[in-house]
Amino acid sequence: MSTKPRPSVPAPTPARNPNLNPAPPRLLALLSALLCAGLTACQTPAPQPPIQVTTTVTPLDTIERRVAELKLALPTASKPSPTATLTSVVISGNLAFVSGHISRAADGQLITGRVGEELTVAQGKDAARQCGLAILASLRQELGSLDRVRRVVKVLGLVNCPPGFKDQPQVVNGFSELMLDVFGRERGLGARSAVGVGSLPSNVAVEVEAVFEILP
Amino acid sequence: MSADARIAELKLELPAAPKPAHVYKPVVIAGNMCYVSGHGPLKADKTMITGVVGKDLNLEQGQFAARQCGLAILATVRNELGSLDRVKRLVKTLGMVNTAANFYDHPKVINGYSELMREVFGDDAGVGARSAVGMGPLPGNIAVEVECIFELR
Repeated sequence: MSTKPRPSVPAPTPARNPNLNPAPPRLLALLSALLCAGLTACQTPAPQPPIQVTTTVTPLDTIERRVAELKLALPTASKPSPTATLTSVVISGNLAFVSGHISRAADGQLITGRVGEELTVAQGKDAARQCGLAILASLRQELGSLDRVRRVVKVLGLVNCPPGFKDQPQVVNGFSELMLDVFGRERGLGARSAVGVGSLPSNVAVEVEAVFEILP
Repeated sequence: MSADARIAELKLELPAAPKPAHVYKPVVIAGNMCYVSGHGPLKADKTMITGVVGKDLNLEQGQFAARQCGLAILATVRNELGSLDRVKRLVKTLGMVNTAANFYDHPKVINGYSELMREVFGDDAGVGARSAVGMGPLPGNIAVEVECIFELR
């Protein structure tokens, strides 16, 4: 915040990504209270109302903040096992390669069945979103914080579906729309392939693998 | 010879770069790697080649479809980069063929794409790592879908 007197200038608003939802009213109120307090202090030596800041204001537009704002409940990321033959995430340079994550409901149960047969497209889309939540959980575990994710690079969405099913892109949009919500349009849209497969492990409905660019 | 010059020499007609209809970008560049979304077999009239290879389409038709995927990819990459001359090499391809259960010639189908890339970028830069698999059904019942990664200069 500027400390110079700016009596005729409206209170500046922080630069924000227009793709993100507005800051919650409580935060805006706090910010505007802080700004008013600053301007008031510069303009008049009159007594100021005491400002009580009880919490640290987190930086705007960070990914973890978005995850909190959206009230996303990320599942528990699977712990690396000494006998595992794969790992959830591999970092190479500034890229994070994420293994295929399968669809699990919030209660941990696998979401199984073929989309277009046992599951509707809407249910498949929800399954794809759940894959996204699991991927975010793995990334957070690997990176320490999702704030280290710079952008989505590449997505491969695999949909368990019967012959003749044509709506794989709509299903995988469940994943991609979650990424848009979390990372915004510039950082959340990746290159993508969304295809059907005849079977998936444990008969899960959707599996998604992805590549992310990360900050050092 | 430059890739753009090869396109002209081979008299290849690239389609208009397809616009994404869903939640993705045609290309994402990360560092010097260019990640290209899955592209379907786009025809000159902007429709897609559909059908199951080995059932509705024969091998040659499947190869032609794979080549059309390649032309669509070249169109997208040129549109994004301004020129194909910015491509240093083809790195990795995933070729997905919409096939019947007992079809086993996926590599021959995807060769339709790979031979195009070799023609355009040359014997070294145009030949990349590759997987060619049966993966279906594909969106809209398209016959082939190809995604790939290019290294940029």
